[in-house]
Amino acid sequence: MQDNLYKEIILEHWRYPLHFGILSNKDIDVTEQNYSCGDTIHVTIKLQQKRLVQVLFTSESCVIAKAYASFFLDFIKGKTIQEVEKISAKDVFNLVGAEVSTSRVKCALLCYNAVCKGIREYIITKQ
Amino acid sequence: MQTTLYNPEIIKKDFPLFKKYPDLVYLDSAATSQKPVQVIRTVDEVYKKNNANVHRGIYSLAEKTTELYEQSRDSVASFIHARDRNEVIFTKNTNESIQLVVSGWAKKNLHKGDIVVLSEMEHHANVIPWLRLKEEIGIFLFFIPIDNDGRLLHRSILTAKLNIKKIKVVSLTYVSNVLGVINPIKKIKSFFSSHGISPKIIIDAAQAVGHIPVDVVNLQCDFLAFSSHKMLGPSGVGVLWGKKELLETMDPLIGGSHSIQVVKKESFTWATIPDRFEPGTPNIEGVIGLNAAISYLKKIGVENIQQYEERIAEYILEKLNSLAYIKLLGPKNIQERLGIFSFTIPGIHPHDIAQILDEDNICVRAGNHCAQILMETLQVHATARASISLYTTKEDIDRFLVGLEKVKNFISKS
Ligand SMILES: Cc1ncc(COP(=O)(O)O)c(C=O)c1O
Repeated sequence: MQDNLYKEIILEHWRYPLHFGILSNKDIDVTEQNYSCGDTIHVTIKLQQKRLVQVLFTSESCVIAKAYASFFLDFIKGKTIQEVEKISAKDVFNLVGAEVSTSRVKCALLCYNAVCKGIREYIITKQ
Repeated sequence: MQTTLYNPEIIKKDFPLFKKYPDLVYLDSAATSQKPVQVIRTVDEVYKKNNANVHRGIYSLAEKTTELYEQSRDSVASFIHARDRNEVIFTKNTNESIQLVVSGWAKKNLHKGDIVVLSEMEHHANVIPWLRLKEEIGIFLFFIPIDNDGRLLHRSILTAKLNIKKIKVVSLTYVSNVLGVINPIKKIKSFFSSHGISPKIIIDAAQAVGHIPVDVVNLQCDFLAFSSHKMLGPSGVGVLWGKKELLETMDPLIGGSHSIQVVKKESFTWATIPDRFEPGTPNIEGVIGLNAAISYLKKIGVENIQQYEERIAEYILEKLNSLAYIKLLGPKNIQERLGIFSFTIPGIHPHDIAQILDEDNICVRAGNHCAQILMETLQVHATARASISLYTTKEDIDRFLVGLEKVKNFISKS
């Protein structure tokens, strides 16, 4: 049981997510799915000199996945690819500071996993 | 026993978990049932009093263990009205039981181009083995579509441009773990007969056994699979029942000890059924525990359980139907279903429904319920699911309904 999982700050980000939408001019375009529940997220990123200057997402997902995406994208916007690559899953949890039960870890990390995958794919295709 | 004597409060007292968590509303019995003390005690006693390996020892302790293990086979056989105790094979679970039929029987007897009929509501346990066989030998799979209430539209096979003479297997769930719908197995069988074909009938009875009487002779099926853990028994034990003449021609999944007769450097011979399919040391305490679960169900009476669960299900159905914010899946008519209710609430994800209910100690499942094909048909990502068992009380349902109001307020606040 999680008393603080739906704390107000998370609900705020769910209701009014930051960075919500799809970029038409983008360098990274990635979707990620949570196979255990079928939730999906779509992230688009515009790069300038290896910096994530614009980041947007849309999702078909639960409160947790959506709120964490909002938090996470706000955190990485403006950072360089290198900086983003250094972020760990633990950092993502610290960012929000709520306790996430085991069954919801995948939801909370959906956006993080999407961004990691997008950057990986970007690096491979650009090399 | 009259249903009027059925007292869920007394039954609930048999389940130690509810003593530990008196406040718990457990509505996930379709995933796994809770266990009565009679089952727990039996498993405990196996270790404390009867622990030896089965089918091996000459000493009396081992003989006693073997006897208890084999008594469970008798008990299962009589519970599902099998004609022959040797038609009962102990497996790990329903998944393994179905895989055994597919690998042991279907792979040997089906050919490229043969048709296996499934339905859009099948659990992955009854999909993946067939998809693998399709890759392996080129069988064709037909998925019977469903109507808006989740009823099978099996007549659509006639318009599907299939050579129906090629239909060799019909493998269906008896009761859907998502929609709660009871499939008319016998009707479907006679539909095929009336078109001059007699495919083998395989039934996934995981959600049926223990909730409604299951009679393999009356169902006229060839194979039937189910799991102990969904019928008050221990986990790690499943059953495959099959017609003797079919089982006798089948290959086991695993070759090894106990499943053989003569072993030489060059060759070996298989044991007779059921030993052939039970290699190695089985889940002894689990199988013996299953016998205790069956005794418990029999003591109350499956008909009584069925009647009681129907009353509770009817109550849920009526309430959920009256709530405008709930989108309930499956039949609206109680006669066609059991107490498994999947639903969605527009504007809120099923995970969040489950999590908000959990704040009030109400356990429901959220997800695709191992039925991704059905989710695609229904055009939903996931659903929330509440499912009942013989210990579910009206108070549990009332608490659940209060919880749903809270979920509703959660979205309207947003
Ligand atoms: C209809 C149906 N079939 C098969 C299974 C699989 O059962 P098990 O996990 O015990 O193999 C389940 C359980 O979720 C089920 O509901």
